[in-house]
Amino acid sequence: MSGALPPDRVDRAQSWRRLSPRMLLVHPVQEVLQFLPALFGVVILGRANDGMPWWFEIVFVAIPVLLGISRWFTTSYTIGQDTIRLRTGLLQRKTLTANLERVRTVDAVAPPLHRLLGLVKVMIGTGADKPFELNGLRAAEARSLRAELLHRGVGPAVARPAPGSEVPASPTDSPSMSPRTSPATAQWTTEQGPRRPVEPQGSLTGAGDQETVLGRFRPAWVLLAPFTLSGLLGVVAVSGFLGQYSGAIVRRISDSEGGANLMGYLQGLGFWLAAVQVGIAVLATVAALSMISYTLAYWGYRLTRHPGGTLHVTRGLLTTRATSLDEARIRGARLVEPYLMRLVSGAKAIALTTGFNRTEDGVNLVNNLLTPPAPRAVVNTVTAAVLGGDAPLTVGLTEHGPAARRRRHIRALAVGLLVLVLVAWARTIADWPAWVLVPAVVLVVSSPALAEQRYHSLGHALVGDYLVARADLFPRERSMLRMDGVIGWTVSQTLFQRRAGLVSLHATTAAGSGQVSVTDVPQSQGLAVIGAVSPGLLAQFVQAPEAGPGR
Amino acid sequence: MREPANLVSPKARTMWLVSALLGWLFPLAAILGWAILAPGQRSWQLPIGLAVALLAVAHLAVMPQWRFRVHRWEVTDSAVYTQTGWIHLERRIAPISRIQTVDSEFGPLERLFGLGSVTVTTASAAGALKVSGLERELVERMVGELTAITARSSSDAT
Repeated sequence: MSGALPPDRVDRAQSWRRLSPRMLLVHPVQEVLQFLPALFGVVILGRANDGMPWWFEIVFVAIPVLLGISRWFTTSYTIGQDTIRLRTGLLQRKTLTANLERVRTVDAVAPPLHRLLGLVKVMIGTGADKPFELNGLRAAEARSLRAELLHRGVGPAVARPAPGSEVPASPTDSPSMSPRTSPATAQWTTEQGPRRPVEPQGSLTGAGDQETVLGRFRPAWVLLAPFTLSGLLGVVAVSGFLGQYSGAIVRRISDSEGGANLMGYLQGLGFWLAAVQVGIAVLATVAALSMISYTLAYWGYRLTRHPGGTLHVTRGLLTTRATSLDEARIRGARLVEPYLMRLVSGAKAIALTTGFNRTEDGVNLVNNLLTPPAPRAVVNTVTAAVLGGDAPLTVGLTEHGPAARRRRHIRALAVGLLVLVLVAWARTIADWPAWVLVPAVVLVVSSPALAEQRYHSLGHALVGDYLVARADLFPRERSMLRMDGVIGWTVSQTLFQRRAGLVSLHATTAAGSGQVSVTDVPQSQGLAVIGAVSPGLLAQFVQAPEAGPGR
Repeated sequence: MREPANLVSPKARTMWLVSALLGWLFPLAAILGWAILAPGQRSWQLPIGLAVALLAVAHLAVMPQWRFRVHRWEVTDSAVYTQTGWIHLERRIAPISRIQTVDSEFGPLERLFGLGSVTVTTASAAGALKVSGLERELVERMVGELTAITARSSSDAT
């Protein structure tokens, strides 16, 4: 419940800590790097900023640099018994306060420059709109901070580290951390039965002895990257950037000898051969960019489990990212299979976690990743380890029956016909060539095949503690939600569904995007699912109504 | 699965009628303005104006009664249950133990009719349960009771 925070009980040992002074180096360099594209325009293409003197843009660099430097002087944070507080702002002082009980994730990101200086940016997710961001801590300091935040006593079922094995604070730690750790460890002794030795807590880049490795990167996975189509985004981004200077660049290329040769070569080929060759070149570029971006994002991926009740995902080639998830907050997982990835038996998995930092338009799906796009078998193994059994991943799903299948066919055909009619109508108005009808006809003709595939991806199952639901093709998603993570139901029915005797169930949950849907299931089956997942909840709304207290 | 037991206040029908009427004033005023400013385009203005007027009349005639029958709610000892929708029916169930906040809301039009709405949220991002068009005293009583029940549970209902 998002109520008022309890007053901080420890005001005594509360000293305000600063970010690492090395950040004073990072800010200027970062600002200059951001200035590079403009510099590129000025120096390489000789495109001066119309009428402005050359030093004009320098001013625009200097101001952010000064602001960045001032940020170091004005930012400080402190960790009390119950809360973590962050003070920022030069003119308008702001203090952010978060309840330590609510810390769900700790994200440590180290872009190349940070890594060079041994720094990391720590983001603390509390389920609030804005994550707590501590930009620029020493790596060791970040490690102990993470341990301090995550292994302090959430998740009743998991064993917590015993105090005797607590690693002494590293010399780089600020002295104020020690008084904070001791009361907490004392608490652990009284609560905890089994004592377990513990490794240097939550290391950022190296697994300790106590962490179990659940998944590890294989370089061969990079070969799957072209099927993620992530390179397409890269191509769009690059062409967008070049688009700014397109005139100049095209002129430069066509003026150069190589460019002229290329154009001459393509013109000599004739239309079809040239189109095929250009197509192959574009595909190769997309594939290469996909592999590069995959490598940058996921190289060195490792998923480990800490006995303190957290999962750690580390990954990244240049910018490293270490995400810690509190296992007590994980309600399940989702296996995502984009259409092209399925052709090569690839998939990726994400965790369904409560209180994830939500972006404005939904949920930030970037850092709840369990596995990067990888072979399905590997993803299955890793996800099974996270969920505590492979039954939700391997169980055969109940099909949704002939009415659901018919619905898939009707919808696929209807969409195809609609497109066909629209295109045909557009041709009567505009002067479009006849071949524009071809894609629409293909859509209509292929609709039965598409409908069959969509039908076969539909399904649900109840296995062990999990509700499993699968749907869709682009991508196909298999959601596995722990039944005790279901916090309500929505049963929706359109007019057409009513006539077909189908319903769509949405199990609402605090995790992920907020619900897991079982689409187009026969009504009686759907109600049986609700009955099994939430016993007793539905029964009262099936019998005759009684007057409720609200009446 | 049956419908929730309770209808909202009968006064809600009048309120929905008034609010829909206000909503239709804008397109009708726009067409009227067009008719005044451009007298040469009667062949377009007449059919469009007629179509909009017909739609408005049909909507105003059917909607309040239909919505009154569909928008139902029920609170039991263990759950809140609502039904909304038009062609697309939606029934939502939230166990009382999972309720996070209970809000009441009295809009200007609702105040005019002595009505209000109750919104019950859970920890899910997928939406709240909202019942509008309830009698003012009922809203206050429901909020009080639900808040008291939810305050008793100590977990964070996720």
